[in-house]
Amino acid sequence: MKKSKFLINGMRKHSLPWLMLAPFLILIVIFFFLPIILIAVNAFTDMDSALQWTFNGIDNFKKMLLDPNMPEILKNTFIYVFFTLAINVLFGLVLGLLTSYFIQKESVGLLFRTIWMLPRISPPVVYVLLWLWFFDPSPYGILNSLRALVDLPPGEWLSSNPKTAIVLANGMIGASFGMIIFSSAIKSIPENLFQAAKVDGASQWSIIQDIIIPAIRWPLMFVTMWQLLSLLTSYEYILLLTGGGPMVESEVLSLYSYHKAFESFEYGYGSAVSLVLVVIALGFSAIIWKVFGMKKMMGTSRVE
Amino acid sequence: MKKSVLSLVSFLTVAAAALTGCQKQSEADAQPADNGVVTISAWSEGAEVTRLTNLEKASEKLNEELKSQGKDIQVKVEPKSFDGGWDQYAKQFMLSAKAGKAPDIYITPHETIGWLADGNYIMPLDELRDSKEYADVFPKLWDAASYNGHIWGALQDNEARPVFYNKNILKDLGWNETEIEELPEKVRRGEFTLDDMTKLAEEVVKQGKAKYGVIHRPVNGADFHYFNYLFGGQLYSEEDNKIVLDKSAVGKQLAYHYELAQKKLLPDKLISMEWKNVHRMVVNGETLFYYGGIWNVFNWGNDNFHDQLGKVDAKWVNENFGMMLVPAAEKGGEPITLSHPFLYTVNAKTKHPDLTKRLLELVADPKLQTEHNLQTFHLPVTERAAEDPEFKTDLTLGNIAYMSEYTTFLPNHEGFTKYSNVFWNSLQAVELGKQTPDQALESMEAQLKVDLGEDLKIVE
Amino acid sequence: MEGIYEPKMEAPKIKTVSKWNARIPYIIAYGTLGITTLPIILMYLWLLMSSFSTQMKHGVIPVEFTLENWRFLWTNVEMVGSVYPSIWTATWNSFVFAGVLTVLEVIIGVMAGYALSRMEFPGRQGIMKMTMMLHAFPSVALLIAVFFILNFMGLFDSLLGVILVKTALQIPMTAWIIKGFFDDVPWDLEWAGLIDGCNRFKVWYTIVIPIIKPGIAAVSIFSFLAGWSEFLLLYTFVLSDDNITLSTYLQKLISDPNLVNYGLLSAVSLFYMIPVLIFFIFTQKSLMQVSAGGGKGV
Repeated sequence: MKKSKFLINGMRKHSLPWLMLAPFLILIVIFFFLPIILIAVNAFTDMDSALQWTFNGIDNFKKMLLDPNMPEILKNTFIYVFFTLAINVLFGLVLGLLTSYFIQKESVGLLFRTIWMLPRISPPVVYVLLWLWFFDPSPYGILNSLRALVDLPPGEWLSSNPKTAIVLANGMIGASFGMIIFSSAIKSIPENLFQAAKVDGASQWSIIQDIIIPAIRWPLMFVTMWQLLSLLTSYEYILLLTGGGPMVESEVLSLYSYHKAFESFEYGYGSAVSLVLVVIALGFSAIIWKVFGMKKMMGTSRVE
Repeated sequence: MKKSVLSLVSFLTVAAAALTGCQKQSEADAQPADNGVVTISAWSEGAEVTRLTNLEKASEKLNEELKSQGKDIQVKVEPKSFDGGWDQYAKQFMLSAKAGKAPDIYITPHETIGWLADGNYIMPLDELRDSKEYADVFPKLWDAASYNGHIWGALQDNEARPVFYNKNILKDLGWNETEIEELPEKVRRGEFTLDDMTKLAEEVVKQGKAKYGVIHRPVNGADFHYFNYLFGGQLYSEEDNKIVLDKSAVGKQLAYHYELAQKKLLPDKLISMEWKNVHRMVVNGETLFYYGGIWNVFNWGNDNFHDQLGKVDAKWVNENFGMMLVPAAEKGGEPITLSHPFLYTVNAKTKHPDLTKRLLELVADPKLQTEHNLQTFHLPVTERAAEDPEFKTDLTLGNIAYMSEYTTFLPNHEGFTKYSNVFWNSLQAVELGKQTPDQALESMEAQLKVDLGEDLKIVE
Repeated sequence: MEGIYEPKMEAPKIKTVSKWNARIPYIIAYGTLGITTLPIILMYLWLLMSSFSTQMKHGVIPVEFTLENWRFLWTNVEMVGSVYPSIWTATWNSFVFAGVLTVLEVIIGVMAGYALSRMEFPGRQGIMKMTMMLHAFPSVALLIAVFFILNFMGLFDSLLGVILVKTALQIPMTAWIIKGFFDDVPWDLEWAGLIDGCNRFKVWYTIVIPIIKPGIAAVSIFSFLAGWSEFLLLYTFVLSDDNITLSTYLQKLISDPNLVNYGLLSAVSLFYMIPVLIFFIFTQKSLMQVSAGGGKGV
């Protein structure tokens, strides 16, 4: 009797967790693992609008090397990621410092942080509309209206400076991510450290340099790596704002794979570009993993 | 870990089995549900709704026919009109076809039949050619519906892409009434060439009679490729079934656009403008020439483009604009235009092929064609429709019906979309002054080799 | 930027100057913050004003009050021959999309989070690592393959299909957040319940879940807003007008070459933003935390 009860308990003990995890795992298998496999296979086919799996070896990868668009796209990707990341991290840091250190009144700091969250929580389509209106080439656009006040001719901002536009639009969203993480890290610095420094007559600059920065070293690195990864692979705002144009002037690698698949219907080639991205992303994840360590990552990802 | 992988695999199989099961069931449900009513779905894109309403009207005829044959079937057309880009529209058809949700009738510009046929999306409709409804189609038009030796669609309409010229500006320049009205005829005879056109535009801009000399469409489209034919080029080689890059013609083509931009005859950054603004500039007389399409008359009557008058009707357009062919490249040469017929294509997986085909025969009725032509400023595909008195007396259409004799088509090969995208990029590059025509041609060749690979033939 | 280092024994006269000096960083701080924040406020203010105005002078100053831009609420928008679907269809679809997504996320997330936090079973570490990894995985790179899968399942062009995709893409994060909340529930509490004779499910139901309520609330808000704002997946995988949502509706209006009517666009945008703003005002604190913890987008 006792033995069999133990056995049933044992089975329960092992089947219950699997049962509870089942929907979770099914979703992950169907929408993460299976797609990875499919992408990896499809990257070696020349699937086009007929949607047939015809294998063509490594032709797609050769094509990628020869693709005359590639150098410019890689250059764009680099510029986009580098400058947006700079805004995200540096401006995020400035915002974090301002709203949680310089502004001592918590309610005021919170107000500013809340306002900065607006772009982040606005639906992408609405947020992009605001930028489209800002850059509108007609004399009615905000930038052109402002120029008209000082008698400057209207400009075609989105077509003449597409990269600036996508960096600004994405930077503004990313900055709030840095802001939140940094300000909560700054707040967790013990108050008496600041007081001691002030008693010693330390300047604001040296407080920032010697106390705050070292204290938020880890969040700083985390935000940098994390944003680097998402910037490399996301393209939603670019798609909405410039669509990669004019020509390929604001096209980045991830958007190129989307365009190749869903606009020129070169699914095979698009998959090959995606596969490259997936490999790059996995590499970065591995680095993040190495640098921060499994334990730390597991700690930080929780809601603080 | 191994165990977890194993269980994942088993979850997957269970899930897949369950899901495919579902799908089969729902398909089975859908089939037998017609109690005498057969629904034929049709998709169209853009503002020309007559392409769909004509189908509905044709279905009424079909129903009478069925009744008189004593058949207990009624056909109901389920129309759906999309808006958004043509890319989107093609994508929607492609993806829904794979999901089994494509319509029975897909209305599409003719040059898409290449990929539609290659991908087994649509069925050949060779028998239409022998039907009495299509017996008097202008023979040249069948080329637009043919690919790989088969007919792939029922011709729906045709149009002309004239060059609009602003009569007021010419008057301002000192031309008299007869000179202005004779211009199309001079173009037709090859006396007024493309160079003359450019020179005239230059003169107008230099004297400040108009802001711009020439305007073309702001987005990629079929118009640009008539210059290829005009400069003696070709886009498609039938014997190899390959897209052709004719280097000398394309070189001249790019040089022409480069020249327009360098001489400041085009508005700055034309290629990134909105259609709306282009229409506005043309209607408000800011340009002497406009490489347009006859359906623009329809567009201008539909929206408030004119600063003072708002919507303008066909009469106004004809008073203020003339329409001519694209002038020949050299004196005595042939002028040109390009048509872009629309086709009704039939889904290869339609459940009612016979009814659908009969419906497409009935929709070719001259009356229905005329209705579409008059409302949307298109040209008929059959002689009977061209003889329709209502059509013949139409102010705009009557004047340009002759252009069909000078018409050309885009190739139907599926690689053409890629070609046209690459060409569009080169065109933007030369107009923006980022590349010289030679550089642009070079990068175009490199890109085409990559994009088209085997499907490309290069002619020096 | 730099404050002046001052020795403690300064004469009082200089102190007033240095007080001024000490303020400089604060002035700069408020100044920078004000200047950079102003455009955001203005942009959203413009959205509000232009939706109630016939025209904007200099693009920024409202001219005349009108309700014309809000006509989409009672009629279908019509543009050169093509009639847009009703806004209420789009609203309903967006609501269904976000609602079902939220329910699925919470149920699946709570089950998985509990198992990962509380149960010991072979493979647990592996699944945790995998969840962590997926958290950072560039899911948008997989869209092409997801298309094949939806197609195979017969779920292409259906809201349900996109709901499943979206649920899957977010579930690693949701499960992880909820696991964190479970981790904070003291074991003692659960033990106490077990000793009282309840079975595990009952303990779960009556003791544990109420404690992790804030976590569920946070995840629900986040899921709902993510679903409500979703654009890319809907744009790529849903075609028919019957399944149009507010985001694709608005995108359609924006990209219509025949129309750049900022009045109408901003009215629709505001209408679309209403739930976002409501959540935003009432729950900003937890919202901020969750989106920081799981800031998967840029």
